[in-house]
Amino acid sequence: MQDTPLKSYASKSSIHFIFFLACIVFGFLLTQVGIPDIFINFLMLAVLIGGYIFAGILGRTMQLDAFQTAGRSATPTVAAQAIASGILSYSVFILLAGEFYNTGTDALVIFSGIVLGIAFMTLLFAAPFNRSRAVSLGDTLTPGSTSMLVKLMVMLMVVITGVLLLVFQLSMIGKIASGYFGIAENIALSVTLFTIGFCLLMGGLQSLSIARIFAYPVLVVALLGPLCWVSYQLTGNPVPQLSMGNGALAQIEEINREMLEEGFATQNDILEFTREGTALDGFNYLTSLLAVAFGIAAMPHLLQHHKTLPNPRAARKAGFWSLGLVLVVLTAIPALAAYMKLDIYTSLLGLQVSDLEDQAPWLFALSNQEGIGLITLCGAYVASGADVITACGAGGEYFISLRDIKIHSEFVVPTFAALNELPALVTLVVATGCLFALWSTIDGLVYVISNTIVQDGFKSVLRRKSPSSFTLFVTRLAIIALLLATPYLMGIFTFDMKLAFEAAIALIAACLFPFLLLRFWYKSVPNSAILFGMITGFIITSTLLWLGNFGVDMLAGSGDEIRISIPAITDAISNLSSGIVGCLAMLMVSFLVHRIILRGNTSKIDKTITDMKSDVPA
Amino acid sequence: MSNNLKIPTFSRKNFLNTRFLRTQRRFSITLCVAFVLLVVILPLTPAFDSMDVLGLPLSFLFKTIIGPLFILLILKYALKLSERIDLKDPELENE
Repeated sequence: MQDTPLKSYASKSSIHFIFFLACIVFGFLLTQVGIPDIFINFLMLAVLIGGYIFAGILGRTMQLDAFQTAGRSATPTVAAQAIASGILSYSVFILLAGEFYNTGTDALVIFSGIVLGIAFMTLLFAAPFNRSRAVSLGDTLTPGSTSMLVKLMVMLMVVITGVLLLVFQLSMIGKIASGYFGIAENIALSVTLFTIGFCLLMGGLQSLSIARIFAYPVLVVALLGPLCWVSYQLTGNPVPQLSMGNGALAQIEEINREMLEEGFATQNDILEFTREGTALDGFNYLTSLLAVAFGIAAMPHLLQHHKTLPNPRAARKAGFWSLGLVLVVLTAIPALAAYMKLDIYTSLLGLQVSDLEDQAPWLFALSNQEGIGLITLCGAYVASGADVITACGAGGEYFISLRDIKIHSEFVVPTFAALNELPALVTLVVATGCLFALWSTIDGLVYVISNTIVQDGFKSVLRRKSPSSFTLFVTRLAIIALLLATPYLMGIFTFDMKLAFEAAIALIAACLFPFLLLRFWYKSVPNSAILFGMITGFIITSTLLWLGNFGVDMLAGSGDEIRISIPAITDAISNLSSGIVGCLAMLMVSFLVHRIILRGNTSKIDKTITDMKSDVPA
Repeated sequence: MSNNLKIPTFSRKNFLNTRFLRTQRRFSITLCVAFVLLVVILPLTPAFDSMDVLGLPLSFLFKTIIGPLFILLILKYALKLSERIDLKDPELENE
């Protein structure tokens, strides 16, 4: 009998965390001695790569049960940390602060959507999902060998949404690796796929859970460490959530007022990000928020962690704890945006172009299209004062104003420490946290796609009674095949990263969320009705996404995109909102078909009683 | 075979009891979901925009700190409620 490594996770997690802290201290000593930066970069990468290799070895198994469900041996705190690390991905850990900076309250769609989503997942799905003995989403929703078409439809949805999210996360790996660690993008991608592949091949969901447990403390330290320090330095209060109002926003408002009075900005240039948004109307705000919530609640790579718990009670507890753990990081993100804004305002605004090289030399290091592309001036990346003069079309006496500065959301978090003049090592620690956030989502996506293809595709269609050893072999083969196919997939899905995220969330909200809701809470709706509903939801959502982003000629940005409007409600349905339109269509069609099918049958209670009687053993 | 072995038996009373528990569970979950939604939607009302606390608009503070903490509280209550209802359910042997 093998040990269950998830039961004694605390000691292993502590070992990895101590290793992480030791690497920071050792890195600090090396910088004092004058060792070249590249060695310190490798030291920080060792935390990441070593963590995944260690997790793979710890979770290694040759038993299918341990590979697919970790032998149901996890504790609620283990699953909670794994779910939290899965949620703290590119869109939350890296992008959200920048979205607050650039779009104001529109970013609350993701913020509140995540909170609601975890609450929905815990309330609605955690217990029934755990109660099912099946190991894939398709099997859980359509138990037994019936409803093959429905199972294949679920598999298709998991694969499509999983690949969209996977490609979107992987595309950021290269940018972080080349910008902050000086490693070529293709090498970074290869190392990512190899290390994650090793971890998953060794222990499947068991190793994945351990790796995600390692990730969570690193994410917390990487984000909150520098932020709390900056908050303490500026306000004397180390809790950024409480200090951001008087410590950053009040000063930003003061600068805004001065700029308006001096004529350096108009009201349109100013965005008070705690009070106003830039794009979403009331309808799109609410529906987008619900779409994110539904998408998070039904996300297969998060739901799978509920299978690692021994009973529904533990699954509910894990959901509760995961919300608490996510909130530790999530509530600090608006504060990070506020302090970032204050820093940009105080260090760049009002400077003359001729003074930039002396007074803001950091600008040119952080405005690099090939590396760290945090900032553009007058719409261009700039490497020198001459570039700024060319871009702004003015002389050296030109004053930099608010409308000249554009911040790119995805670099806000990794560059925060550098902008606040913290040591270079701190920037590396934050960048390591960013890579951990990406890896701890990619691993779950790779596993859930492979497992779904094997369980709902191969096992259900081709070999229903395949022995567990063979299933384990095929699952490992599927993981290798997916990892090898990933660079090819990245070549196909080359569209905007934000669109990939929104499309995946919208499709999950339109198809998987209502299916889970019907299966667990309205069990009388038959699979045939759900199949019609899912197909309708999928077609409507994907059509809205396609027309709104590519148009009839299938080319993005060609001008023939069609945004559907609802008179007197909204001028254009947003990408995320299309998921809610699809969700409503799915539910309506399912109920409609259900009523037509059940019409003329005997009363439901009598039918159920007959079924139950036939189940009682003689 | 031991005489103490319990064979599950069917009765209309058990069935109705299960139906009642199921309805109760569904009602309590719906209530919790409604509360959670309310916490998110409530700060959209204009009254929340007029007041500042700790230098932050009350609506923003509610959406980013107070609201999520409320949801955590509702979730804690919902878990206890679900467990209490599930424990009475003869169908849920795993609980």
